Amino acid sequence: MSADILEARGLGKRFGGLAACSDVSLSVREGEIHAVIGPNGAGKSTLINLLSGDLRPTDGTILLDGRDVTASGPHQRCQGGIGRSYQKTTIFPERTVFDNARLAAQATRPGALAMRCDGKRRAAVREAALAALAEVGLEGRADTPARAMSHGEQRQLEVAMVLATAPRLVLLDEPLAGMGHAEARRMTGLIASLKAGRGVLLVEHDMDAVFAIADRLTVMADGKVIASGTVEAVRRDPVVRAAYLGEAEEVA
Amino acid sequence: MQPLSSRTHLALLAAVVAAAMLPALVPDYYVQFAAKVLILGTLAMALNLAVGFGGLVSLCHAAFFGLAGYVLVLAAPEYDAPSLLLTLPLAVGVTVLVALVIGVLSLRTRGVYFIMVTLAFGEMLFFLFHDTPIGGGSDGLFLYVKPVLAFGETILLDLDNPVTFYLVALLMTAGCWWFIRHLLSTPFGDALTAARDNERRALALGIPVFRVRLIAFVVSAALAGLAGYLSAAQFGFVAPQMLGWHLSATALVMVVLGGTRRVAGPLAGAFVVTGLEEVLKYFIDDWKLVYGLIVIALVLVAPGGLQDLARLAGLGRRASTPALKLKEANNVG
Repeated sequence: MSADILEARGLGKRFGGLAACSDVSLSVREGEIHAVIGPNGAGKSTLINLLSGDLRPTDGTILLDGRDVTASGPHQRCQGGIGRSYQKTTIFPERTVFDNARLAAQATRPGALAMRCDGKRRAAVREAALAALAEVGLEGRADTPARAMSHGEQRQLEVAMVLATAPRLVLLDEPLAGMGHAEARRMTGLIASLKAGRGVLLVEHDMDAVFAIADRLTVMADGKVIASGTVEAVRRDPVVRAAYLGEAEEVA
Repeated sequence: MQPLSSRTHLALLAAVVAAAMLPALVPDYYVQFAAKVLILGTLAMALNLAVGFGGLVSLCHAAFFGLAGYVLVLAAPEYDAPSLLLTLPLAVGVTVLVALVIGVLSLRTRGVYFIMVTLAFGEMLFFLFHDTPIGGGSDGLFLYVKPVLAFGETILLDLDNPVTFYLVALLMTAGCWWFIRHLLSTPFGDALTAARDNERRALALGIPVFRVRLIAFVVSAALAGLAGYLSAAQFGFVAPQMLGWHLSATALVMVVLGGTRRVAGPLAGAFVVTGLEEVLKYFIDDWKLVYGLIVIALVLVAPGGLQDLARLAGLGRRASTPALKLKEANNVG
C-alpha cells in the first residue's frame, strides 16, 4: 500500500454556533480516488475548502506528505502539491483556453513572479500547458476564449488548469454538477484517469459515477463522518443506508 | 500581454525622436506645457498599473507624487543646486517606504473599502504637510535652485533649462511606459492580472496574491514619485495640494478617459484633461463648470474606462463582458 499524500486528523470548522465540520479524519493515498458523499449540507464543500486552504480549520491538523500545512494559505498549499476545482467553475473566462492553462503552469514553476522574460522558461511553460490541455482533451480548443465554451468544456478546462500546476493531490468539488449525460460520462472517464501518480479526493452527488470510479468512500452527514471504507463495505453499511441512501434498495 | 517586439521598440524610439523635435518647433511656453502633460501622464500611467492592471483603485497616488516633491525640496540645499543623483533616489526611496507601509495595511481590504482606506492615508499625508511646519504648512515651499546632474565640475544636465527639462521628462515618460509594458509581459504581470480577474483562482493556482499586489502597488507609487519629483523641479514649488485627494481624483479621471486597458491610455487621458483645462482657462471665466460638463460628456460618449473602473471597484454588473473587451485585452499595449 502506498503512503498517504494527505491526512486530515480531527478536522473541525465552526461558523459561529454552527459546526459545518466536526472531527473529520480521512486520508488520500497515491493512486486512489477517495470519494466523499453525503446529503446537501453534510459539510463536504467545507471539508474541501479546509483541505485546500480556502478556509482555516478551527480544530484539527492537515498533513501533506507528512508535513503540517494546517496554518498555510491556499497558494502555499497549491505550491505544496494540492490542486482543486470549485463547485462553481472558477476560471479566467476572458482569456483563451491556452492562456488559462499557461497561467496555471507558470504559477507553480520556478520564476513564477519573475520580472524578466525568458524564452526557455516560456517554452517550458507552454509545453506544460499544452500537455495539461491534451490530458483533458482540449488541445484542439487552445485558441478559443474560455467563456465561449460549453459548461462541460469549461469544467474540463478547470481540471486542466489544476493539472498544469503539477499537483500530487487533486480535490474536485462536484465536477459533474450541471453536466449533460454525455459530458458527464466523458468527465467521469477523465477523473478515473487522474489517479495515475496522484491522489484524488472527489466530492460528488452522481452516485453512478462515484460507485464506478471510487476506490474508497467516506460518507458524511451533519458535518460528521458516518462511514468510511471500500465502496462495497460502505454500500452494505446499514447506518449509511438509513441516513443517506434512504429507502432505495439498489442505488447503483 | 505579449513580450515587447522589436517593432514595438522601433515605434517607441520613433515616437520619442519625434517628440524630442518639439522644442525646435514651438515657443518655450508650449514646451513647458508639454513637459507638464508628460509628468501628469506618467503619474496617470503609474496609477493605472495599480488601477487597470492590478484592479486596485487607489486614491492616494497624489500623496506619493507630492511626497517625492517635498523630499526633493526639503533635501535641497538652500542656495546650491541639488544633485539629481542624490535627491532623486532619496525622493523615490522615501516614497517606496511610505507606499510599503500604506500598501501592507490597505491591501487587506478590497473594492470600495480599498478606495476609502487609500483615501484616508492620502489625506493623512496631506494634513501632515498642511498642518505642521515641516513643509512650510499650507503655504508650501520654494525650490530656489533646480536640480542638476553634474560630473565633477561639469554640468551634464541642468533642469533649469526648459528644453533640457522637457527632454528629461520625455525620457522618463518613455521609460515609464516601457517599464510598465515590459512588466506586464513577464510572469509577474501575468500573476498581477490573474489576481485582478479572479483572486480565488489565482490563489488556488499558487499565486501569492497579497505579495504580488503589494509589489505592484509599491512600484506604481515609486513611478508616481518619480513624476512628482520632476513636477516639483519644474515649478520650483511644492504645496500640500500636490498631495491631496483632488489630484488623486484628477489622475483617476485621466486614467478613465484614456482607458484602463492600455499602458499608454492614461497618457492620452492626461493630454485631454490638461489640454482642456488650458484651453478653457484662456477663454472662459467659469471654466471649471464647462470642464466638468465636458468630462461628463466624454465619459458618456466613451464609457469604456468608467465601466472598467466600476468593475474593478467591485461595483455594478460583473458578468457583462462584451466581445470587444476581450479583443482589446488581447492586443493591449
